[in-house]
Amino acid sequence: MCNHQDETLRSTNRDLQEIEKKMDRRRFLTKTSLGIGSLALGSLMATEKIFAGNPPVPRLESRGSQGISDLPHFMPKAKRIIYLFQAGGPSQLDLFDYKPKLTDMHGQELPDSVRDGQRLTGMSADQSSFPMTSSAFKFHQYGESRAWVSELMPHTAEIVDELCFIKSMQTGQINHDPAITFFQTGHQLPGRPSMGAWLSYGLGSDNQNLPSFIVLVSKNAVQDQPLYARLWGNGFLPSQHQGIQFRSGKDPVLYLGNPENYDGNDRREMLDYLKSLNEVQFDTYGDAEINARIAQYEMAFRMQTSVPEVTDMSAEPDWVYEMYGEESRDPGTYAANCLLARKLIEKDVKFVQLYHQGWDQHGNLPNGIRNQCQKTDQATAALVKDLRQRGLLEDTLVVWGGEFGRTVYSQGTLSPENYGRDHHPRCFTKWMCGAGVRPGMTYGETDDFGYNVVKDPVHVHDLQATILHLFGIDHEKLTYKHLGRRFRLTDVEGNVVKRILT
Amino acid sequence: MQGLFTFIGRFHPLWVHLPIGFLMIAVFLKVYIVLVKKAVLQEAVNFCLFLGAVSAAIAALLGFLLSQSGGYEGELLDVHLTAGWITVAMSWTAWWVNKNEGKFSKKLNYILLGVLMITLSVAGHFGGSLTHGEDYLTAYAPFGNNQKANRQRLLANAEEAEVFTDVIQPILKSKCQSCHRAGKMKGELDMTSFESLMVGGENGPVLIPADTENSELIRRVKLPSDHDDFMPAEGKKPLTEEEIQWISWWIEKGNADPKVLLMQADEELIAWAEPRLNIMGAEKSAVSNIDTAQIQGLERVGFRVRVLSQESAALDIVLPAESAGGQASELVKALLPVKDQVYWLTLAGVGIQDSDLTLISQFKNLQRLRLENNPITDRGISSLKSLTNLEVLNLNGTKISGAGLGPIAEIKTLRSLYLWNTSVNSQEDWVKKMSSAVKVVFGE
Repeated sequence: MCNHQDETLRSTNRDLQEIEKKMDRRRFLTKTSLGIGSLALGSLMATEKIFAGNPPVPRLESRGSQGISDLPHFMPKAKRIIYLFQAGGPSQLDLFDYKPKLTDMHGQELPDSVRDGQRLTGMSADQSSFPMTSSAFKFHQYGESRAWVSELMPHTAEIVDELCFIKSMQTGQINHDPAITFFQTGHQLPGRPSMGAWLSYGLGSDNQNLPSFIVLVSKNAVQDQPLYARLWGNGFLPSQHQGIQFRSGKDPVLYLGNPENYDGNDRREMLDYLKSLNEVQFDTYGDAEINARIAQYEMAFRMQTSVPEVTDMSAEPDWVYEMYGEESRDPGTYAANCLLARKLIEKDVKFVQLYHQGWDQHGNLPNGIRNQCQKTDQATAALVKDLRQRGLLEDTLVVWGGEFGRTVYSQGTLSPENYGRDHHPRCFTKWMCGAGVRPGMTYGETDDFGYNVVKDPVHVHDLQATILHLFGIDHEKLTYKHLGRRFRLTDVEGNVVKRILT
Repeated sequence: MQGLFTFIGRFHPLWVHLPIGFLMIAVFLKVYIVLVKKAVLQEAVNFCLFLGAVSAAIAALLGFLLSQSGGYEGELLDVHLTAGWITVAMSWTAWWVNKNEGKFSKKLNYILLGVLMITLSVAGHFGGSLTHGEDYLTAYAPFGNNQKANRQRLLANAEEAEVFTDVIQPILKSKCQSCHRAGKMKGELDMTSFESLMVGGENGPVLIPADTENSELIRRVKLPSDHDDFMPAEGKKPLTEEEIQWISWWIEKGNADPKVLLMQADEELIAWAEPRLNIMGAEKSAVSNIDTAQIQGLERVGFRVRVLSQESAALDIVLPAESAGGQASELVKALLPVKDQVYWLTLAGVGIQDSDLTLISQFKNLQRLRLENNPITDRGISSLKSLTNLEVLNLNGTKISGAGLGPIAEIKTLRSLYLWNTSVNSQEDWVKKMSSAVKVVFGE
């Protein structure tokens, strides 16, 4: 640390002062000895925008709660989103994508022309036989929209007229982690910001007392496949945009409570002083992460009161618990998380992400999926009904679905009452409802085998582009410069699925 | 031979800048001599005037050749030509008078140079008008009504817009008419009016109704830009994809009918054209700006303010129950300065009274209004009927009764009405009378 702290040695030229902040003599010498060439090149190319400097780091104050100043790009439909992520890959063939012809073809070999040489996972690639497997569950049509739902989801069947089923989802990933990472960050490799972080970065927060991106993971799920915190990470975005996980139990957010024997009375004073110290650092280095740190301390301070308040369920009447199911009385279950999600949405939290694991039925599917549905179906439907009656579905988007679908052929031996299904990225079903999404609609079609999409495919990037669109964001314009190039959630792809919008 | 003349003639626009420069520097030098009394510089004035006179003569000759090559005619050309020749004559005279300074009175010299400046300007101005179009200079002038005159005609709404007048004409005006217009008539084509456009140019008609394939206009604009026949020529700004689509649509589907209405076109084309129309009143709402200081003021007293759209400066305003503190009636008054910008408003459970609703009924752009869990009754709610853009109204947990729905039903734009936890039930006649377009939600 050196001359930049010394007023008399500082330049009076404002531009130079900015440089001095970021680069003192020692750093300058270190960097230039290696980087003078690139420096010269950079200045030569400065007219090309791609080589121009990083966007200026705004001061915290000017940031406010508004996100980026030119957003939204157009009038939004949605203000908040609840993403009910069903991790593991729920079987579309046993839940929503009804394939009556499979009943006749049950047990027959999947024709090669349908599979068309598709690479399979290591788990079923060695199988000598690929017997097509119709669902063990009965399907019925419901509501005015006559949507097909299997008997596993009697409660979801009641709300089909609110939902828009997308039966033609596609992804490029066949394994859990890359596929979930792809859905949440737009790329199969770790390191990109998640959708919630992008929305927080772009649109800011609507409630200064709670994080704009909150994550709830079911404790009552089969945790066969891990979930990593990076799925709600901020990637290269400033770190105040990362998702905050609320846990069940007495500490919903870790390290938020005061330590034993400390009453917290001088906390405000301590934080103010810490903030002034951090601001000195920011003035010196201009690093956005310093602002992020200040923002996080402030947020944590406000959360010390706001989080116990919002997670306090004592004011909820009994009929609410009956609606979401008795499990909703037990914090941390999927049902309780759905109820908590509604409370967070009422507080204008922008993005509530639920995860419920255990949909990975490679074998023993009928029992496994029945168990999954029992834990989730009622609460999911109750959440939609509850949002609807409160008027919140007008500007809240709800998305339900997993990272991929499951194969039509049985993994392992097909027996009269048992079968399994492997990962299937070529087609699967998701549903969306609420803000700006056409209710009572089914979009896209799969073939009679439930193997390929035959009409209106929707890729992961398309879904992401559509979600951003509902928030008034042009997915091609929300970018962040990192490592010398601009990144966006949808990478270089994505088309808004306009036909599912109102 | 004609070709060679045309080739030489086209150096005119380049060359004319020489005499302008020479003659002007001569006059400025003269002014300098007179003011600072540096008589020694007179020699330079003579020299510059000589160069000016010679180059002006050459310029005039080139200009004459260019005018003979076709494509220019009419009054503008005559004025330019005459002013040009006068400038040549004047510059030679001025040179002669200055060279023999002693023989003529100083006054005569000054007048001569002054007139020279004027003729030079006149010639230059009309030359520019010939090249760029008559309204080129004044189109963006801040004075007078020129700006308005150059804008598209004013429409009451998008429904009455006509494809030719309100979409095709502005495209032709910005991309074609600088050359193809009365007075310049490149290729003997005048595109300034429907009639003259249909007449076509030297190679016959440029468009054939209902037949884009054989319409020369479409063929030309769709060629690769380095093709000889590509239009607009000479590196002028080419037509955009949408502009070509629109012209094609008008010729093909619109049968090149000048009266076909905008609304008959394809949805995507309309979406492109609509914001470009000059619709009455639309301008007013688009220009209202977001006043950051005002927003910060609202946030300080407890509102949450979010910009919904930068373009229309639309705001989403929430008054959280914890910030209201029983002062909701007072706080809402603070919204009056931004009342036309409030599109979404949430005043849930903050203790809004009937009397406050008359104030809210002035927020004429409101689209979504959440008033749930407030002690408001039919009396207050009836004033909301003046909200003619309201789409979503949340009255959950209020004291509204079935009779109170009467005024609400008058809001034509309404599509969702929330009446959970109210005394209204779905069997009431009032509910059945609501338009079927309105989704009425009572709760589970």
